[in-house]
Amino acid sequence: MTIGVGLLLATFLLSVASLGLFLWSMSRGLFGRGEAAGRVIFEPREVGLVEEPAGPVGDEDALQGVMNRTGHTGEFSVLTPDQASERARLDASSRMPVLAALTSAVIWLVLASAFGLLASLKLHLPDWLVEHPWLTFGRIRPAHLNAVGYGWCSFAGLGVSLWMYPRLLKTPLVGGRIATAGIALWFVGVSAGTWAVLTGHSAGLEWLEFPWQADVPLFLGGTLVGVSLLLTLQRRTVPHLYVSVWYISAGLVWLPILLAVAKWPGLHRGVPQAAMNWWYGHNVLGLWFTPLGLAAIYYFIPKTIGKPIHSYNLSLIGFWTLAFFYSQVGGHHLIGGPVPSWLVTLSIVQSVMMVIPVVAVGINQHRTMWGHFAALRHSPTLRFVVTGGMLYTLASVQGSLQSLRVVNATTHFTHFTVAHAHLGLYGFFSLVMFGAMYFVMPRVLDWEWPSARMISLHFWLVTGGFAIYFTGLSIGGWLQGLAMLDASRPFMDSVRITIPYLVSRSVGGALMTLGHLVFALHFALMLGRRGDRRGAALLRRPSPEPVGVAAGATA
Amino acid sequence: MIERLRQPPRQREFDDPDERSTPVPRGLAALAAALVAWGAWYITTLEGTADPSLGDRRTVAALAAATAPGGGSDGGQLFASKCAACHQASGTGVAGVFPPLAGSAWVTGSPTRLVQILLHGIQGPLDVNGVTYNGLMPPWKSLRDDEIAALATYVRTSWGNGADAVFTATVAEQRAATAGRTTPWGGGAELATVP
Repeated sequence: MTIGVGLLLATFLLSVASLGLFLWSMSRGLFGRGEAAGRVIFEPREVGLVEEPAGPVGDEDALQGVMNRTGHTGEFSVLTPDQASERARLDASSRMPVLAALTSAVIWLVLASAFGLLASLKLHLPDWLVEHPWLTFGRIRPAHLNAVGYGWCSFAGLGVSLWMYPRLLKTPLVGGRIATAGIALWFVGVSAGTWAVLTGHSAGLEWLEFPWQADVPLFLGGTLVGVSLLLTLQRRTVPHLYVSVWYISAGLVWLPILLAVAKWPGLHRGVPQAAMNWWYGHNVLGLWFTPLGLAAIYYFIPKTIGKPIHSYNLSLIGFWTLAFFYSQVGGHHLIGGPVPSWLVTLSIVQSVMMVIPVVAVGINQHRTMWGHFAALRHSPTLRFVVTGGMLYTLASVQGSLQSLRVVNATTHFTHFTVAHAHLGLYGFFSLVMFGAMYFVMPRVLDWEWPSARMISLHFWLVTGGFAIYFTGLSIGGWLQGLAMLDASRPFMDSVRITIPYLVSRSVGGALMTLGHLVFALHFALMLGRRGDRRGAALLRRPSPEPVGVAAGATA
Repeated sequence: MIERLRQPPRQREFDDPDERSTPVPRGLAALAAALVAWGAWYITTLEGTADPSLGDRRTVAALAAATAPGGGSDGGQLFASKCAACHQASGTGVAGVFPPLAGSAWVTGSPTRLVQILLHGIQGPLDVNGVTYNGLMPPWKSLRDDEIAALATYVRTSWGNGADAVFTATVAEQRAATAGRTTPWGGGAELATVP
């Protein structure tokens, strides 16, 4: 064995062993008590009580009924007026930045959908709308990617995190104005960057198309939100940090580091620039969007069904192995490229190792939901968040498989990769954010969602559209890869073969866009205080005497 | 619903909450161990391909093969970059200015003559399918033998032309035979003397 290979192998084994030891000592409580951490999101007697502000009144009762029938044994209580007003105080502390972030998220969702649909149509209607340079594919496509990533997803993630944080720490948000300023700066950065891409000033690297000048406000904005959250963390009144807090805090530290390293002007050249490009491109997914998405899943599933998360140990494994394995994953985008073999090989190993956190998170959520899937019918939040959580598992396992050289040989440079990217950022992240926003907005505005029907329409349009989108594009991409690998077929065959699938992608994308318009309209109606207030949302509570279980509890 | 909301919260004992420090399932531990073992094995497959200066999984042998004569030059690509500007992608040329290659006896006839045209070019009147062209075709002797062979094969087998392939060895012979030549062939009259 050569020294290089031996060194890499030894480093890998030693690091994994250390990680195992670290996780073992954490789970044994050697770093402090962990057991009670799963209960932090509840008041002492609240465990077992459902909470779903997004559904109509009758549905919350039905949801409670489902939870009671499915044999959950927990504590049931209602908030005391003191507890309720304390929670209202926490929500009020984050109201301004959360409202700013979520409104911005909806604006960018609509813009990004328009860019995406246009780019999709152009792939099978190449001569349509080509008379203006800013409407050409080369600009619309990166505008879509950045508007989704830095616009919709980041704003939604920041808004939902800003709302969860005070509740998780039972501490009013410190520096709400700082956070609001951060959101405003972020808006300036995204707008400037998208404008630059559309006017032809792209920096030319995927995920890093914004010129560095536009990333300065993003960096500062993200840092300001981080400062506000970390100040709140410092003043927390809870003894345990719930798993969502780990993910949010880590993500807020990781993102500014990633941005600063990747966008430092004049630092990256040549082959190392390509390596940096995919280091960043993949880390922004795994160390920014994924933590925020998982934080929301970890909060909203147990919160909505009133049952603690299944296992603190699995949460530990899920978080730390993500932090440990993810940062090397991006190199698998350079398989066969002019970069050292060891870099690509290590990246493939790390990509496959990502199965560990994904399975840990998957088991944890599945076991928490186990037996309560009927509850999905009654809770819009749960429907979106659970679907998103399942697609997280699917997207991640698919990603690990795609990093293998034997699979990558077919899928690389095809639409298959595009379908995979959407499974992660749309199927997982965006759906979870929709669900979270359905829960959060009634608390932020003290106002109910005006229409249960519009929520339902939104859900079926986006999931139905996305199913068409993903299935068609995956098949088309795979056929495209096979055609490109066949040296006896001309290149144009690999293009022609994708056309029907590209059309199906536009159909799916149009349905998704329609769903987003329904959501945006609903959001605007709610901002305009249409519909019912139905009293303070916070105090609206279903039966404090759950049928069946209450009898068991006293027996 | 509303009546219940107005009730004061109940103060009474409840069951203790579920145990949450559920141990890690053995299956997950086994899966993690298997993945680590696989990772360690996969790192050892680096052996022999680990020269970082060559690029991912590239060896000296693989890179050398790609540059050797006959190492897979793409005639179609060469035609698109060197020839299509005058003779057009469809091989039809431009009427009266650039002669067609599709259906031209100069192309589908003697392979050695075609190689000579490619090596040295033509300057002078040339009759193609009953039309006389009087232009200048530049010499392409800067191309490698395998590239000229691939190019000649491409034009002899495209657009309905059905002639034989041209071998790299033939090009090498023809290049050696006319190594001293510095001027293009003087049109159809001189080319007729080339076998």
